Amino acid sequence: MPGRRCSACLNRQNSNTVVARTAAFILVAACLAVLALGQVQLRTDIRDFFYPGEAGDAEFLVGQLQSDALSRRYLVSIDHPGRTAGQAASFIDALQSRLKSLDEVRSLRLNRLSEADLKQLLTFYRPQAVHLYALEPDKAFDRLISPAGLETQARQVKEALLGPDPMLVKSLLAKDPMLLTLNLFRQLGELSGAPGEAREHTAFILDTRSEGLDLDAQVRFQRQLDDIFASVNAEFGGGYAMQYTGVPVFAATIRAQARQDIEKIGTLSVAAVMLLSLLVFRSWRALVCIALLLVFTVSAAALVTQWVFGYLHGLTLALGMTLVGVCIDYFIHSLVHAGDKSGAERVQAVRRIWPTLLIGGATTLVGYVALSISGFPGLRQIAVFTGAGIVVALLSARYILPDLMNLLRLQLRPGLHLDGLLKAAANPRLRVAVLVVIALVGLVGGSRMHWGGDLNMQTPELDRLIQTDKQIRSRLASIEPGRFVLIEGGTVEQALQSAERLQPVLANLKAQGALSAYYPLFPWLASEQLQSANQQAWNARVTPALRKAWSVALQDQGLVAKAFPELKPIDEPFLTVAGLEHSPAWDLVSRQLTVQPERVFIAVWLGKHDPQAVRSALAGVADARYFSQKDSIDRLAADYRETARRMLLLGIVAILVILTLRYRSPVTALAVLVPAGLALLLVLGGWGLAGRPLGMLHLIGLLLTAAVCVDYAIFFLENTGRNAQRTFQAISLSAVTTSVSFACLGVAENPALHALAWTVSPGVLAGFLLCPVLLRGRAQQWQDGQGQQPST
Amino acid sequence: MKAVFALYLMALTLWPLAAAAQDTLADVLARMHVHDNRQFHYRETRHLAMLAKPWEASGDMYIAPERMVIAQQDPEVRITDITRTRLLHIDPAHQVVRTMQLSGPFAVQGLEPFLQLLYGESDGSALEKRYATKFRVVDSRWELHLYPVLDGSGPISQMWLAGREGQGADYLKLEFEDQDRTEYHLTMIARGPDARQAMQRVLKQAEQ
Repeated sequence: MPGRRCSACLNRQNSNTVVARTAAFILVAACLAVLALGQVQLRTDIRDFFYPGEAGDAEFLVGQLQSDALSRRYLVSIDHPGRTAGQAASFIDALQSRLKSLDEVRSLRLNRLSEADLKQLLTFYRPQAVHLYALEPDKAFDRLISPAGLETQARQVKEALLGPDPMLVKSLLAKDPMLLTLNLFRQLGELSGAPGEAREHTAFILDTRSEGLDLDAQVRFQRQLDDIFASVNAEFGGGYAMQYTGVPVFAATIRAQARQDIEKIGTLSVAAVMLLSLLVFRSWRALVCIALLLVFTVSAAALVTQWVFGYLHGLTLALGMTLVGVCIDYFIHSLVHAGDKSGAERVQAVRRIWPTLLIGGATTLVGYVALSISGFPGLRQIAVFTGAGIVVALLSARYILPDLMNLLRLQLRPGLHLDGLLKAAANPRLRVAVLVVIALVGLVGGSRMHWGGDLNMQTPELDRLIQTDKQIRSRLASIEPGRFVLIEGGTVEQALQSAERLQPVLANLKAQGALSAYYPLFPWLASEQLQSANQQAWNARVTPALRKAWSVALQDQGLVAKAFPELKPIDEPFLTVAGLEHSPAWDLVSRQLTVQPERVFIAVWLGKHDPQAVRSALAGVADARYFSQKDSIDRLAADYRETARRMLLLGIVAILVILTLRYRSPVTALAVLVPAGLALLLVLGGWGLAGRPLGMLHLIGLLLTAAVCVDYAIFFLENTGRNAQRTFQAISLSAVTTSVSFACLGVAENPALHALAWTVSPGVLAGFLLCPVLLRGRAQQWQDGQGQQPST
Repeated sequence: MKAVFALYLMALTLWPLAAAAQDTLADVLARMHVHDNRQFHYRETRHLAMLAKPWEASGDMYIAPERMVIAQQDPEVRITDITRTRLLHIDPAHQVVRTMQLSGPFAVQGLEPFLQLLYGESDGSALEKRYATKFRVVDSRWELHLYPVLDGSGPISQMWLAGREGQGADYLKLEFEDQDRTEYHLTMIARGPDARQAMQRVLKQAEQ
């Protein structure tokens, strides 16, 4: 009796321990979920996901777009076809005055310099008129002080005096008697092409008070902007149209789409997987068990990613939702094999399949880890997210699930009967037919397969925004959006000197007609070397003879020479970036200049141009390169595709190595890989037959397909549960849930996710179905070799 | 009866005097305020210390409720189109098109008080906050003299406007802080639709 009591005590103690452990797990899972909800910072900026941090061009672009000024700026364009200038002006006046009354509007200005801006700029640049006079100071000043040059300059002084703003001219003349300041603005006029703004549109620039990152405020403001426009348009009888663009517009759209994708994919994926589980296990308690484990897994994965990267990208989360379909595989296997057992037997059953789970998890992990070495920043995050998820799911399946099943008193017998399928798969004729079909699809489809150059991360809505953006920008100035010359230097001085060397090259292109206009940083800013050269050239020429010649030139124009101040050498300090930062010119300069701790970028915007001619001309200019956003993206896509090919190869080799180590036979390892390999061939052939171009994301999809399909082959081959039907049930359910999870990506707005959906989902199903067709004999052979009892 | 008759005679005698009552500042301001289209011929003379002799120009000036257009014809064609928000200056000979956004409604430096009279409050209340006014009528002509009362009101130190009684201004003189000055002699040549059509023709030509 004491022995029996003791046994009861032990059982009770064990039971208490199980309850305590499970309760602790539920508490930890709940805490992790709360922590994940509170701690994880969800970011939706596509550039985080897309551009690698080390590419200079992208760094410049991202730096520009993330600048405080640009992140809160809207470019608004009003179309007023068929309206007179007066009618359009009245409409713009009314709209602007309504917009200005909003607290959110910090500033609003037309795309022209206001009189106040112009005055400020002229006043600011007056002391620098000599420093910024010319790129070739000696030649330019010699031209200026020649008799013809002095006559021209004196005439220009007179014309300016008699122009629309004599007061401003007189104030400049007091310190700049030759009015060299105007030369700066004349140079700008010569560089630019025709005025960009057509008479059918008016564009204005609007800055908000809220930061660009405050997307809720930006979305609210965009609604207000739409409402106010609609109301003013109605007051004026309709017929006006508004478009706007800017970083906040893109950011808000991307966020809305990412949220929508996450919600849609998440809800669908979880609902589908849960429904399938419920249908198969016919147990709400099993559903609770799976849900708890999935919440634990996803929360842990999100927190690990947050910890590693400092944020979680929306696309990672959307794609990571497929993790639900992958991780549930381990739970399904454990539930199927241990569902009809209890207590220690249950633990024993899970322990028995643990090596297979581990090897399956390892091969899947290999696929995801290969993503992290792709160099594609978004995929690194996905790899970390999914990798963490797989590890947590594996450990949960081994150490938590049996206790949880015991606590919930789960007794399961999966209601999925696939004996017919197993028997049919044993038919040798079927095997031949399947192989022939796959070979045909592979051959025909493979010959039609082609690679696309575009990464195609843009949704139709984003494409529309990009087109609007290009249209508005082309109205604001005669600049070709997305193409410019980028100059890079270690210091501001180096970059400015390179930019100054570039300018004659662009002038030459303009003279040849290969370039309609260009917008360099000079004369807004010049290197100290050039400023010094200008100062020396001027000071050397200011002689009594020049003063006399200038007086004569003024008198010849009917001007009173005595009323003008005397020409003097200058010793003003040079203009620097720091000096510009709080000046009225900074808004203009900062759009082209990005100063980083170790690198400085200068962009020279280009008007209509011949890309090949510009590229060739730049070949001889050090530190300058032609940047085309589309070319750059195509190049990145090609690089990524090449990397993805390497990843696929590397991933398959790594899986083969793991399998060879496991089975101590390369032939068995290869046999396990065959269903996955043929599934890939089938999917590739299918894409070829569909005539759709393949990109990097398809290759990634293929790698994931291979990594997941190998799991099914391993489970099928090893049958460590010693019950082939059960094993096949588990594999079937796993394949269906994984396939459904990935198929859910197909409902996303983002086409990048479509590529993954329609690669992985059919691939996984094909890989699973090929296991009994191709591996039955080999599985029997291996199990016999392991001394397993025949399956029941 | 005699008394009544005497009163009646007296009333008849005073009637022409009452009908021809002198212009007041309020009358002039109300008359100046733009509510229709007008076309003037103008002659401009600039007296600048930096110029050896005064510079003269002439052309047509169009005043409409939403804009003012100065179409200089001599010595060179130049069009200046001023709206509430911007000033457009076109110099066809030199192919110069200059657009300036104005910091306030019709806030063109050098013409600000004059444009205030045309486009500001019709009772002159806003004008009076910034400028002191002296108004008088002499020899059937009214004269309005304005000078800024606030520091930093702009470059104009004094402005004179004058016209015949019961009519708008035909003379404008602007004197600047540095003693330079500009005079305009104005002659109204059209009013209403004709003036508007003429202005639109000028604007169309300028746009071409």
